[in-house]
Amino acid sequence: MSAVISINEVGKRYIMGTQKVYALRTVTLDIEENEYVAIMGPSGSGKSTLMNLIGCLDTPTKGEYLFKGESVGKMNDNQLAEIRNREIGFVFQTFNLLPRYSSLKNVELPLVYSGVPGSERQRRAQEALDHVGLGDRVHHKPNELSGGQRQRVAIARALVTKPSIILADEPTGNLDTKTGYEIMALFAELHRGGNTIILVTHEPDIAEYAHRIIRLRDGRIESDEVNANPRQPEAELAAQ
Amino acid sequence: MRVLIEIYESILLALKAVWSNKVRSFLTTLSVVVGVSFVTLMGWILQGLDNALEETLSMFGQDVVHVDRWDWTNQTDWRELIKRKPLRLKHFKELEPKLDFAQYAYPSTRNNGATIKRLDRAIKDAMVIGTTDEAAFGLASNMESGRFFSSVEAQHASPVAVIGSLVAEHLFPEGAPLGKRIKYKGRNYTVIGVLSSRATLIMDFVDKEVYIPMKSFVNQNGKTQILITVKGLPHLTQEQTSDELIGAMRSVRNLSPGSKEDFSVNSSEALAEMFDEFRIVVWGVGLILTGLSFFVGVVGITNIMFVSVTERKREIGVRKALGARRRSIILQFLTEAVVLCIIGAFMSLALCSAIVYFAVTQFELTFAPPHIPPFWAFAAIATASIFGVLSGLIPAMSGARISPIEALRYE
Repeated sequence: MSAVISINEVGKRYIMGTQKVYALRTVTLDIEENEYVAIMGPSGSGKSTLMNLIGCLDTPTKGEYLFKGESVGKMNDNQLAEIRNREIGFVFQTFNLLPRYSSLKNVELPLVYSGVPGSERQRRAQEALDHVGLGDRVHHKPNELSGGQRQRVAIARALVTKPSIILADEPTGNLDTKTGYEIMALFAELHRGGNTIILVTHEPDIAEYAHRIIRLRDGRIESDEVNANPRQPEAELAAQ
Repeated sequence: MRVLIEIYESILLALKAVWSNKVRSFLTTLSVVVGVSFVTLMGWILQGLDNALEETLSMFGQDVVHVDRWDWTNQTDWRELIKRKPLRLKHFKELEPKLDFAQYAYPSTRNNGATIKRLDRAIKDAMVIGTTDEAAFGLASNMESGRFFSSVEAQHASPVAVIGSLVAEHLFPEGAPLGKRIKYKGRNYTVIGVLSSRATLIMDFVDKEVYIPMKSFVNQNGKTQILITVKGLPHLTQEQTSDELIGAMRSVRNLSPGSKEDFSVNSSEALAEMFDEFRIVVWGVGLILTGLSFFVGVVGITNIMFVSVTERKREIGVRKALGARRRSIILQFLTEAVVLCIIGAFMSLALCSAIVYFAVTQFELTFAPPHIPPFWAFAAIATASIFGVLSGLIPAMSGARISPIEALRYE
């Protein structure tokens, strides 16, 4: 297996007024293809900063970040946009669907930015929505869907470009417990299908679904362990 | 390919955004409507004005020149003008033998605001013109019915009259005025000819003219100032005719070489020059007004676009996370501004068409077209697009510069 993400002594420092704020001190970690990783930590631990760096939304102020061997630190805005478009599927806590768009249009959006023509776009978006079990909700707008359904649309949108990693930031934070199980079951299924999944959360019981748990504290990695016994969302769903 | 897809998507999105904020979009486009309406109405007015000026010029005759005490182009100082001696019939008589360069020439004199009666009907603002039979040459193409008076009638001060179309309409609502009598200052005249309508925006009085023989006019009104109209031989330009005429007139007036003329030779060319100046003034004023409303409109839309960018900061963040480049974001907001402006342009065209149609039909503005000239409709849409780009650019660029992290954090 090859490392999709290779982070070497990476740090991020912000300058606020005259003060330097270290959001991330020094972090070194590799993530391989088809891993299921949870990044955990309390607020202020630097996990959001790390997620932004991994997601190529931001660049580090020190160290080197290689995404599939390419150095992200040296990329300009357009190159970062390109790599986000092609390689990373984002799933947010608040779903972040565009309210005026139907499910199908929302899922098509990343393909618009990679220049896929209309009919091909529709076909692939439909496929992704079928995959998350919303094949019959393509023309619904976000406000006509339940929270769980919205998150499924968001996951379909993350999947549609067939990215190297899926980066999920508190994906169950805005959902009730049962719907949360359903979403975690979907992630488990995607993982089995070969996807690389990075879960960012502050909830230990959500992190338990991942196969590897990285704990952050004060901008440093506190622990990086294999989770030998990940929780099985399908079984928990069935038990309910 | 990618850009085309993005442009297409941006247009769809812009239409959607405009539609979902109907009231705000409408209010925003109002400033465009004002600006674009200025452009279109200006265009329409200028076109109408040009038509009117052209008609007026052709009425003066492209190739006749007029000797008058007054300078029609206001290029001579008025203090000099009032010192000039009046131009009298005797001057024409002295001038006539010297006019070997002329096809025809005739004196004319007028009585403005004359009352012409017929039975119990009257027209109070008629213009009675005393002239000779040679004036017929200038009016030949305007005879609706009947004929102009002959040289015999002119010499014998016959009580005959050729009347303008409005006079005919007014005094003879039942029609057929030929052979009937009208009364001018207590004297009866027989109508022998009727002129067709020649009124223009600037010269609306010409249809109220009544032509009578010069001698009849002098008999009734006494000594009078005249105007001399001369048409040069076909091979002469208007300028050459003017020069010849100036020479002839100088000798009539016994002017020593080098002294100033105490008369003016006016030509339609000189008038055209004056009209051109007038046109420039109208254009200038129009441009300033248009520019001003344009500026106000651009500032207004820029403001709204800034609001729109701020409101959709989070959306910008999502789009950037999904792979939108700066270019895509700029394109999105620019398209929205342009779409807004073009919608405004169409609204404005509809409004202006209504105004123009109403104006033309209600006020019978024959000189102006009853629709927006196509060129100006096109100009309006082009203006609106420029409007959109100008007002959308700065907000769009500021939106595109926001970092995705900051934008995603925006509540």
